[in-house]
Amino acid sequence: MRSNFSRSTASPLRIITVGDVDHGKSTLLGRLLYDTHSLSQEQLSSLHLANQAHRGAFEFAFALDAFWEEQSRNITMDVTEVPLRRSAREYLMIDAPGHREFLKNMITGASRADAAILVVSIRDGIREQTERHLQLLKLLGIDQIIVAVNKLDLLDFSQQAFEQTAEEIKTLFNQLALPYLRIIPLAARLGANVVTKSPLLPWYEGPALFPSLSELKSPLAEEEKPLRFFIQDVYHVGGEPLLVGRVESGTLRVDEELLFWSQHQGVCSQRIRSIEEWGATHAPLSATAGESIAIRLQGPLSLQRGDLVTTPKHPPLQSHRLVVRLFWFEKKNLCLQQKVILRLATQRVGASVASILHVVEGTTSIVMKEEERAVHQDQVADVSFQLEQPLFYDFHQEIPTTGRLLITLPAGEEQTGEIIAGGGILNAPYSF
Amino acid sequence: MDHLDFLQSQSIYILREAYYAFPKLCMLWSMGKDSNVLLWLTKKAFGGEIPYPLLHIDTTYEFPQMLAFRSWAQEHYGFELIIKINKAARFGHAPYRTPISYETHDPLTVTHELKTVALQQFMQEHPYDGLITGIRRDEDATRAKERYFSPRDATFRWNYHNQPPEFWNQFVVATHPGSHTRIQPLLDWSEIDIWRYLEREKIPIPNMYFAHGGKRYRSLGCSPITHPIESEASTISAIIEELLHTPHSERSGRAQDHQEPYAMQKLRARGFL
Repeated sequence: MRSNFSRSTASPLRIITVGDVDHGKSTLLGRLLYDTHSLSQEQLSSLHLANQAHRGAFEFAFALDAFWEEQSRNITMDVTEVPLRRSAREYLMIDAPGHREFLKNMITGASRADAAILVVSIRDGIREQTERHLQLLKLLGIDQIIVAVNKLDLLDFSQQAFEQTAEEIKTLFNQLALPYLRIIPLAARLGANVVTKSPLLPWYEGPALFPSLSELKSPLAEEEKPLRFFIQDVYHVGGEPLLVGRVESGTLRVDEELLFWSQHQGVCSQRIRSIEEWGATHAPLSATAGESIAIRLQGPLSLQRGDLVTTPKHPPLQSHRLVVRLFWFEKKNLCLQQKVILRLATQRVGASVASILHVVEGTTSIVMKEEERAVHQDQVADVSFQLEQPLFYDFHQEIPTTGRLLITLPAGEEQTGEIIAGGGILNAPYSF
Repeated sequence: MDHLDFLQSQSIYILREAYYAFPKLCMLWSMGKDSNVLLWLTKKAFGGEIPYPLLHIDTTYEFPQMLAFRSWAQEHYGFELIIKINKAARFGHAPYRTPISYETHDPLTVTHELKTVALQQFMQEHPYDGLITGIRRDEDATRAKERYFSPRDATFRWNYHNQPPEFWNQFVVATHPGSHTRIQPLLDWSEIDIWRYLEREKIPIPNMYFAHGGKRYRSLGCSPITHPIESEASTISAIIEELLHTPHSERSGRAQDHQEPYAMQKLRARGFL
């Protein structure tokens, strides 16, 4: 699942650290910020102040774990984002919590990342949470991953121990069919192989972590994909209706013949008269993926939120039944017949669980007996939904931004239900 | 699309989602640079109109130049402006025993009473359920952990222990009685992004941000506790150049942030922006 809706390729690259609790994600980022002189004088003095109040070794993690609860418990609770300055290319480092109870915060951070650093402590090796985070990166479409094998100092900088862990990591990536860019041995607390190569690890021939970030690629623009423009709202400014929304993929052009898909009125052909931009000297003639725009049509057409604009050549799919590979982070299990709300772009529809095809646990998939079928907290599963009304969609593999959806509890009065899951729409089960 | 276009589109999308979701919406506006970017984005999002009122929490310690800008902007843009002052605190009326002032109280207390409590009073007096703010992640380590749509209960508490998940631009709208949602469209913008956008769009801002006699204000708040920085930057491009090389934080001149460890966490947990 590609993580981001059409980001600008000129934007800073966003990199998330993932991995199990206490494998050193925040310490690694803290050290990276410290050694690249990315912290301001005020941030440095708070870091030193926080460490004075804290007993034990100096904690670089406090540069990111700003809450006193985080510092006193030495954990990361919620996701944070810090720029890495003083480098030719701009990076935004996203620090995510490793604890299972904070998985939804990890997903919040990972959903806006372009790449990831997987941190594995050499003392503990691959843990269940390591596998789960990798599984989620795969679901979120993050396929640029650098592995940092941390805490080499605890095992005397042993090459043998590193190679053994590296082998296990390679096997796991293979099983998940995920690529990795590099596996780097380091000791975050000491800064060894973080920004510069360390003489403590003379047997390692590759680059340190920071220079290897330059190998990461910026996200590709989605301008070449089929056009998908969902109506977000209709305003009445200047007499005629002004349709607003964001181009989710492809390119929208003035005067081109387009199809307007409505849940209530079927499909109509129509042309766009203008793209209106307040304050612009020239009205734009086209808009590409990621742009929030306002348009006026050539002829009258009654449209509303959730309606879709495409080209005649690439119509959307529309169905009452969808199979979704989802990640489930609600405490209560997902059960057969359960009622939920599906949200895809600006569409919202009620649905119920028609069947739970299988659950993915780590690297194995489990098919359960019909009567035992349920998805537990933090599991990944393939689930089929029966929809109250058909939804416009695409297969996730074809158009990521309109091939993924979010699942909430049914809404109460005047409020939207809590978000309990997200996932990508499969063209056939098991083929993600 | 360049990076500013991307940020602009993302913020406009968030503003439009907020306008769709909240029947009673207003926008905090403090006359500062971020506030004026928010106002500009509002005009872009709604075809040149400003469809919700602006709210200024007036601490009575505003710089006179800022008040002059407030009057000018109201005339220039023609928006609906609500000015809220915690008068009971300033005059020492019940439930306060003595007037709250910088002369008699510490910055954390004054900030809490004249900003957070003033906002609380306003929200109790008026049934707004959506409040647009201009906070950014890079301003402060606790703001870095915020959401675009951030719920607050009736006591204004920020439940940072259990924030809702937020991804793929789907936002949660909870309207329990007395609660409200903070809508934060500028979270992704950095201080330099703001300046580059102000320059590109030629957005009017108070001239206190530009150097006069070797000093300028990098961040603006209450006059007794806001300090200028040494600077010769009298144009936006000079400011951007300065920011690219400064070793200091944006809010280093704001006393309430630095009064004690975790000052911002304490302020924000109780409802400060």
